Amino acid sequence: MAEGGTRPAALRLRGVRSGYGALEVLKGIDLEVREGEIVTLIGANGAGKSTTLKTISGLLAIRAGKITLFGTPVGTLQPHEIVGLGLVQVPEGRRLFGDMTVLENLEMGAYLRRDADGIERDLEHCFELFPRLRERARQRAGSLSGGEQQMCAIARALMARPRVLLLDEPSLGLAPLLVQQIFEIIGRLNREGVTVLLVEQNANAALNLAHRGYVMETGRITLSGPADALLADPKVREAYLGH
Amino acid sequence: MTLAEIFSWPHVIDALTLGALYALIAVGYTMVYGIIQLINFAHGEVFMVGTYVALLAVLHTGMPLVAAIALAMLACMALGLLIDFTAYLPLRRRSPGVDAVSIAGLTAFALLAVAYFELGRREVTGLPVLLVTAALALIPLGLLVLALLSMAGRLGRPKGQVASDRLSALITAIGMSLSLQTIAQLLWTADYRAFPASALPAFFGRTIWTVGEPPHQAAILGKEIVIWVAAAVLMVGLGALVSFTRTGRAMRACAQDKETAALMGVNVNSVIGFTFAVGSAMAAIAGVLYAVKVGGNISPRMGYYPGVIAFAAAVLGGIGSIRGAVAGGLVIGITQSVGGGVTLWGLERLAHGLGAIGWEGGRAGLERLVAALAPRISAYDFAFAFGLMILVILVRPWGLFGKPGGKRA
Repeated sequence: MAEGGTRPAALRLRGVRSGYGALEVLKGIDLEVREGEIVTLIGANGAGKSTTLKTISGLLAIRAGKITLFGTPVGTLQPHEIVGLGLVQVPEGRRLFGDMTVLENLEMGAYLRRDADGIERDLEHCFELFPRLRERARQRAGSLSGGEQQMCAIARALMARPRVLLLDEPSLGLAPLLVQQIFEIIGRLNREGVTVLLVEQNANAALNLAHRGYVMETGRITLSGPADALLADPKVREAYLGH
Repeated sequence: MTLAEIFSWPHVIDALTLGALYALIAVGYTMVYGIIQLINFAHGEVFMVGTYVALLAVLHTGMPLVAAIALAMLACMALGLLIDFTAYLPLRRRSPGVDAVSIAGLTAFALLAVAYFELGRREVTGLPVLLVTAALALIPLGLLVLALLSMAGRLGRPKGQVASDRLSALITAIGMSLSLQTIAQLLWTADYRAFPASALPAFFGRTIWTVGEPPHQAAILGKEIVIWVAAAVLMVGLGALVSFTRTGRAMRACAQDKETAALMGVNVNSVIGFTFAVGSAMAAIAGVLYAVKVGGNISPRMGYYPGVIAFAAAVLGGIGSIRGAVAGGLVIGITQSVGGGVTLWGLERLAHGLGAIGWEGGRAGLERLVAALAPRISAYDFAFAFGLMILVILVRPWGLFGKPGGKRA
């Protein structure tokens, strides 16, 4: 959607390279998420989508290029410092603390915050978004179903009061009805003011939700544009939408 | 020998006291393992250094024992942080410095072997000792420089948590242990020392209660009560810290998944450092109390046996679990105190049984064995402790309170 074009950039990657050991996965990524947008990053398995998110979050070292968050360079910061600047990731596979209760997981999300009142309000907000979590607050997170775990993982990230939310494959392994529910929530969060970068294999659902999209292949961005244009693009339809 | 004799009050009191001390040491192993899956072999040396700090403080300043213990705790917290910072942190960071540090660990190991050999022969003085001393002083310095370089990013871009080769970490831990032992020997000599009686509160040696009936009566001394109460309070406090505080939650989060903990805003290396500091403070208290209990055993090598035994306790209880450390400490303490007696008792019963079925030869043989073993069996107390640990981990490799295939803090 074109109106995003005038807004300032929340997150910007320029020529970002990174990888694991001798293996270079990202071969120069340019990507931009403007304030208030939902941007999706789609691509096949192994294209480097998760690696991109890990590099943005500081879990992987950036080897070349530049990452800025609201204009501040964050490429050399540690993960916890980046969280402190308002960028929070919901990692692939939920990665809940399985031995902790749901409530403790949510409290972990608010780890860097000291405003007890604000935390209490946000907890209430999370329970409103995901009523199931209220019922299961005292239960071990490891005992939740897949859908509940994904809700818990998103709620945990929300407890950090993110300005930019990264989501890595939130639909993975979920039934279609749950996927729809999760995507509705992501849309609602965005309307509440959270900027979203969404990595998805479910390209159809992702492009239907997002304002803009990037297509990634073997460590490079090969295509980008407004989501509806990508949805209509024959190459995208062929490769990622199964038409 | 009867079971009543074996489980007589003096043995029970001894078992509980040892068990409490082992639990205090074991918790340091178990917390560090829970969070970074490293057996910190230098933990016994932290225990030793803590004891020396308290001893020297008492001797040189005449400060009360409680103040000396507090000082020892602070010193050991700093030492724990320093050990993690210089020896283990570089291994957790992704950087070419990692190999250099493991080489430093190996070099330390080799140099210390030489140091032992040289210092063991008393007539060797002068140049060799000087060289060894200089070399030893260079090791921690070198590790520190490497750590600083790797932090400054000169040796790469340190970021994130990368599990380095476990073997490097293990060798570094052993190198650290021997380094500290040898440095302590150079600083404080290998002589056995003790807290002077005048430095200890008078009620330590006083009989608070008398339990049991003659001839198995036993006195419970003030120092034993202090050890029990201190251990109980510290373990409950530690459990509360881990279960209910923000930092404790961060520790558990790091134990389960460091990468995700970092994504929550946890400074993982600070939490690991904190864990080292807390475990080290516990070791300092345990060291002083151990020296008070045993009396006259303070030496650079005093950390070795209690350290190894407490490690066994941590494994037996389920490494990574604080409750396990308590249970393991007590079980090991009891085994060490009564294992010999129970073995003799079992052999006597067996001899009795052989007699009952009419095999006099077997009975006589076993009775001779019992008679021969009886005066010496207490020398095997550590063997019983380790034997029990081996039995437990044969049946439950994850220990009493551990989780199969899992890890926890």
